[in-house]
Amino acid sequence: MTMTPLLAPPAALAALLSGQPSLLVLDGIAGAETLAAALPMLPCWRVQGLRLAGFGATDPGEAPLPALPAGVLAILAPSEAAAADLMACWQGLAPPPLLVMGDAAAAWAPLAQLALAETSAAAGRAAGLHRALVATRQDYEETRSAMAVLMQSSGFRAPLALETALACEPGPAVRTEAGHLALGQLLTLSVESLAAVALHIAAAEVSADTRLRLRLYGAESGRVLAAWLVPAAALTPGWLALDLPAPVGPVRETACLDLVVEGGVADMLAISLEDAGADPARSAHQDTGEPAPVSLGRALALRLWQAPFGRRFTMPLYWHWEQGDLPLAPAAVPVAMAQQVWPLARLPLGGSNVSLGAAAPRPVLVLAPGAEAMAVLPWVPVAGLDLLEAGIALPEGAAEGLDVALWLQPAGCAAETPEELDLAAPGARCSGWRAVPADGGGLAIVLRLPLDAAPTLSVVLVARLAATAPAACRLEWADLFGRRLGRMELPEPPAAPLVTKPRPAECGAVRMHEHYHTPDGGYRHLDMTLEHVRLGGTAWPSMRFKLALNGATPNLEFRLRPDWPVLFQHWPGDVVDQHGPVYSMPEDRLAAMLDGMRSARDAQAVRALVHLLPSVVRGLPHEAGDPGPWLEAARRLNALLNPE
Amino acid sequence: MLPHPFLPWWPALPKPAPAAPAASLPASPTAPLAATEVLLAVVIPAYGQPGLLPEAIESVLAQQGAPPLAAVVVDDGCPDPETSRIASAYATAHPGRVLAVRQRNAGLSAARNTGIEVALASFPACRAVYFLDADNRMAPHLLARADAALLAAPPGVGWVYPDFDMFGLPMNGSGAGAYSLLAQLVDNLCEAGSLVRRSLLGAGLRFDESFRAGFEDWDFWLQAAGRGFRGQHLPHSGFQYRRRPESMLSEAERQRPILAHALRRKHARLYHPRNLLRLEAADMPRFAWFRSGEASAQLLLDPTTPATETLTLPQARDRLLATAETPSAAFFPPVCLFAEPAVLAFLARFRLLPGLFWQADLTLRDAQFIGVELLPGGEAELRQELLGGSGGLAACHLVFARTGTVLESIRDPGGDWLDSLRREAPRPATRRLRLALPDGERPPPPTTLPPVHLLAQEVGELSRTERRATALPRQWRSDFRRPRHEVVEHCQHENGLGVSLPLLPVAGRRDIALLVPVFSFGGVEKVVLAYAQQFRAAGWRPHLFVVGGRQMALTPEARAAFESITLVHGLGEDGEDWTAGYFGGGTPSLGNRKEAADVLGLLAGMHAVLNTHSFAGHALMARLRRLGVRTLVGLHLVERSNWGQPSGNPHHALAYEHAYDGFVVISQALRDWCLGQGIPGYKLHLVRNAPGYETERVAEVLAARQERSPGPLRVLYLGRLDRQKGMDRLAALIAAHPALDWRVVGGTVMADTGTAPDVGVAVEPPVNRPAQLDALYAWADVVLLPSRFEGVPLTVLEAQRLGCAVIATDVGAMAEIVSHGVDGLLVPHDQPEAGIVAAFSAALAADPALLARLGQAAAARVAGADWAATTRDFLTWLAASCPLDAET
Repeated sequence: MTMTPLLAPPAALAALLSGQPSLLVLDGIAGAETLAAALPMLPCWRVQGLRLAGFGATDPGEAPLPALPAGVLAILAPSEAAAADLMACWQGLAPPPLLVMGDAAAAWAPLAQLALAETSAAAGRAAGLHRALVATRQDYEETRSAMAVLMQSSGFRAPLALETALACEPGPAVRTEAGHLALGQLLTLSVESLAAVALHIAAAEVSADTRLRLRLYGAESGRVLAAWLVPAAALTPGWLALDLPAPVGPVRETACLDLVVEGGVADMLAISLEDAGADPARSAHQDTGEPAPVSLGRALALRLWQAPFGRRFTMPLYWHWEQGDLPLAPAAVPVAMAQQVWPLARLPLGGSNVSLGAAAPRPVLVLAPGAEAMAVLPWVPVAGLDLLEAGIALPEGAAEGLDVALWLQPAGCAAETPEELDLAAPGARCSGWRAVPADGGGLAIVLRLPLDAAPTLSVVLVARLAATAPAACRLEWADLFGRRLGRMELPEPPAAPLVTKPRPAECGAVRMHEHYHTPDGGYRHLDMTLEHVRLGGTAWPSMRFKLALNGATPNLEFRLRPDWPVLFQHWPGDVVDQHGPVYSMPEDRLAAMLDGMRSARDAQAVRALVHLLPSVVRGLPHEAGDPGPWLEAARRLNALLNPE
Repeated sequence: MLPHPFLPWWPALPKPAPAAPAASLPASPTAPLAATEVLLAVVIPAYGQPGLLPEAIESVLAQQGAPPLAAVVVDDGCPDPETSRIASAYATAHPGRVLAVRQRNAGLSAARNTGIEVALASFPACRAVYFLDADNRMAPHLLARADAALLAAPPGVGWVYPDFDMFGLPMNGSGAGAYSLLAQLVDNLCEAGSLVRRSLLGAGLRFDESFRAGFEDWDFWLQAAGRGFRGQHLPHSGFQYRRRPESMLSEAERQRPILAHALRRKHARLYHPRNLLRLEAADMPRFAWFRSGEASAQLLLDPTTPATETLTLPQARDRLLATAETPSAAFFPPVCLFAEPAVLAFLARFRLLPGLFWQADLTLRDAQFIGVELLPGGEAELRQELLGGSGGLAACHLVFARTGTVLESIRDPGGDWLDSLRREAPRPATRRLRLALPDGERPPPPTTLPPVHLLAQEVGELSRTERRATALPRQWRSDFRRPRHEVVEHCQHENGLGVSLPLLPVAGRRDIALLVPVFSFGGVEKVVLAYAQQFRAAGWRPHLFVVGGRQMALTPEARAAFESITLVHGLGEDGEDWTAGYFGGGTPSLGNRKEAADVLGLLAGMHAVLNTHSFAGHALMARLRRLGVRTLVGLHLVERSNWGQPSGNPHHALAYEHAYDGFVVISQALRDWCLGQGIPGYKLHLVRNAPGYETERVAEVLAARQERSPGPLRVLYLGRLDRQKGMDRLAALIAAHPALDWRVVGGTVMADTGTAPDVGVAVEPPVNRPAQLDALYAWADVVLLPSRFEGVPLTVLEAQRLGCAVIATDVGAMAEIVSHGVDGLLVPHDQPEAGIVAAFSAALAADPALLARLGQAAAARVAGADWAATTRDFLTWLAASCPLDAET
């Protein structure tokens, strides 16, 4: 490699070598500066001997040009002789056109001709590309047709049996912590032909809101090839088999799994690991919030099956359609939102979208003491992301008493005030109020996205300035970017929740199994199951219990039996009768027994049940007999825990 | 090994600084980019691929998560103007993100080099450059991962390279495993599609523009390695290589032998046997030593140096099983050794370890297990025997096995196959190497599990470890690379070498091999020993190779002088080829045998080889010389056959004159003979002999002679009792002078009969210790040498030093150390046998006072002779001829 004889200022090298259209103008042409000034979109380079510099530049520079400038539209020279040395640099290559003139004013006509010629040639090439595109499209459509016929043909053939590609048997398990678990597993297998995957769940004590998301993707491209969102009801101990709609086609990439469990803080799900050790490269890794993932020393307990592409079609359960074929963002890397997101910002309570330079405008909120402000980005793409991080800047420096909160709302949010924001809306979340530090350095708010978030959401920034603040302030919503789960900084728990009123206990279906009473009526009970019970942040898929009346004394009974769902993390009783372990909570000991429970979740379960009893009893079918005594019993128990 | 598991779902990115959020955001991928912002550059050489070039550029622009980057498209004088137009169109559409340059066609290397120059000159903050060919493409995370890996790697890692994921003709080749320069020497491990650190390019590294037929990337990585940089594999990079049935790569593969030869020539220093030994020790040590009594295994090449790596036993088992599953990505030494540390320490005292390990490695070609049995032997004698298949290994102090055999053993369901090693008739193919050690020395008694039990125990543990391993495979890609345990063998094979001596070169020191056919107590051996002492004093490491010997005299002096001692036998070293004789003389047949490669392997790591009388050694010298070893031959005397014809080593050496860099002669007479035979004078080095051992008794003995009481003349014969030495003459003289006080000391070495001839007096056994020799010379008035031919006998010099009168035949260079009538008496040899005996007889009858005066004069003559003085010029020349490796 030899350098060219041309010299240029070092700072101009990149521009000179950019390959964009440019003019080289030799010294000795009158009005060259005027020409250069009149063509701001066409860089003009002044040439002195073999030195190139911008017009008006004072430093001639000495850096040799490692290559000839490409894209030179023309060389303007006072004479052919003056340009001889420069033209010689193109020896062996097609040189740029040489335009000889004494005055730059004479350049307009030939330059226009050159530009027209180039435009005409470009149009010709564009037409050629259109022809090529037509041919390609025809080819592509033929291929699609052929593929469709082949798929239909192969789809009607008897499906081939699945072939086991991997069987890692279950051993110890890894559990959720505070309801959360994030695991990754490199599979050292090709994704090609994978048709089904099974995880092993070691234990599950989860509420109805718990979700497990599993994604299979190619390590090389980061493309999601399969994704499942498994509801709490399916999270039961044993193998959890998940089908792909069809075996993965000829994608020769390394298979990877990522798994996230998200539930209430008291929920517990344990995922089994393999019963054999593995080196770090083959171990499952856990995100614990530490800078590096933690190797678990074992692979996930897994089963994988393969089938030939096109020979198996399934309607998969729990399939997460919106994640399929999604190109995952690089893990742990901030992914900027498309610039087009920002101009759509709404500022219903005032403020303005301010643009600096070429950057897209950013919402700027102005708050007087005691005022609130709000900015809504109604369409924010979040598919494949796990976190959103908003950057708040204070262009005018520190502001005391300023709080901000970040909300997720369904896409296209039309809220005009913060009060209209709905935490119960699908995919809604809120960071809670965060105080902006008074040092003027701004604030970053991280918000975890729901596992079942829609691909596009609204993101709302709400700000409030304390009435005691000494002055108004301006804040800029400077950034918004997403991250895929990785070495993430876990969001802090809400410091001051916006929604302070506790949600009442809720439940889905109520099933009555039995209304029993002794012949004399001295003892009777209702055997019932409540589905999808929820209280506060905790939920239970189902609760079975008996509401009993011993004479007029109400009593709650629970049993530890295979046909009863497991309600308690720690079975509180030690009494066994002819039907097995039984735990009774009579009215007079209810409060004391609750206090004595080892698990807060277990006590919360009974509280939720007692909360729900009045409404449950009110809706009992007529098979339950006279509702009066039951309602009375429910109220008495409820009053014990809710004296007001 | 990988420094950390690089999970694509979780790359080991440096922790971002907790800066204000506004400043930490990456720029939009569509915004113009200032040259000063560019941190990565992608160089795309373009020639003849206008249809595919946009895909390559698009894949650069689609990179996610990477720092600001720009593509430099170098149109290498493509005849299709569309290439240039496409580059310019992208440059216009993506200002600052795509640069388009054009040059006269100069080839792929030159185009990449132009791209490098443009990137380095245009982007001052650019920290790395990626090379993407115009018909290839990248998955969107490639550069983010590569950049993160390079940032996290130590500065010595100059580039990160991908797997070989090919589309078109689909093939997925693995690049997994720790980078190894050794492996790089035999396979082009690194695709050009790699991210290269700026510091490497800033050091001036460029693609060799003369490599226009391919392998320019292989050459580039070898250049980088030559400058001390190393690569690092980037797993799951997402690099995609368009593979067609015919391409530059397939053409290069077709020309592989030619191109590989060019690489070997260009990078001769990297491929040099001594460098291979260094790399072997660092990257792929040959032996895994499972140490009895310690829960560890050491990986080592040279058993006399600290181990390359010490593993716990679980680590060793994992490594071994990984190697079994992915032999091209993982490495475990190909030979396992089971022994107690105390045994190796014991053997190290005898300087036997490198040679012993070499012998074991060699023998494992034909055997599955080798046991080494150590026995106490005779005085100052080392004896080595390789025994056949019968006999178990229960009593062996060391057990060697091929790692492959150990792996096979874990699949032996009953375990009886392995257990039979302890029985008299083992089922595996075994050999035993029996070493009888000098002076009755015994190895330390075993303190823990005997080696054969340790072997069985390890095999059991390996089997359990394998059963407990994860069901996940280690990789799914195929592996075209050579298995790592074959790499060294292949490299050495390309050098024409077989099993090499496991001896690690030491920086700043030179190694010299001293080749001898026997090492007993003869004069030639003493000269070799004296040379070794002088080499050692001058900073060399001398190594003794007894080629063709099963035993040798292993004295304390030899153990002190030599760095290592190796007995070589059973490789056809005695064979003589009469069909291709030189002037009717035979030539060594070893040169035509495959075993020659193994003997060459012993010697190729040396800076110099001095062949003293090894017939087989001549056949190896030309090949050693081609490998850069200085070759020397030591000449001592022109022998005569039983029929009186000139024969022996100098005549053999003449046939190989061109293969020797130097001839070391011990006398002017021999130098003249060499000149006469056509050996160039510049090759001749006259190194005169000096007494064979040092003594402090000179003054005392000479003073005692002055006080000598009158009595019968004491006549001593000291030396070999072979026909060459004139034993018949000695017997006749003893018979003729019964009144003289005779002592005959020595033994047969070369005699046909093997028994001492009857000379008329009792023959005393050979003596070798300096004190014994001093006592003999102090006793004698006269030392007699009635030899038929001689060189420059050390006995004469030693006897003269202590004032003995020497009476000797005037043969060889005797006249150069004895002046007749001045400091000794010489008997002319060109006369009938009766005249010779008569002349000796007359000399013995000379006036004792005359003999005493001759002795005094001789003592004065030898007083100034020492080896340091006689070897000085030769050593200076040789050191200058053998530059230290760091200086090459």
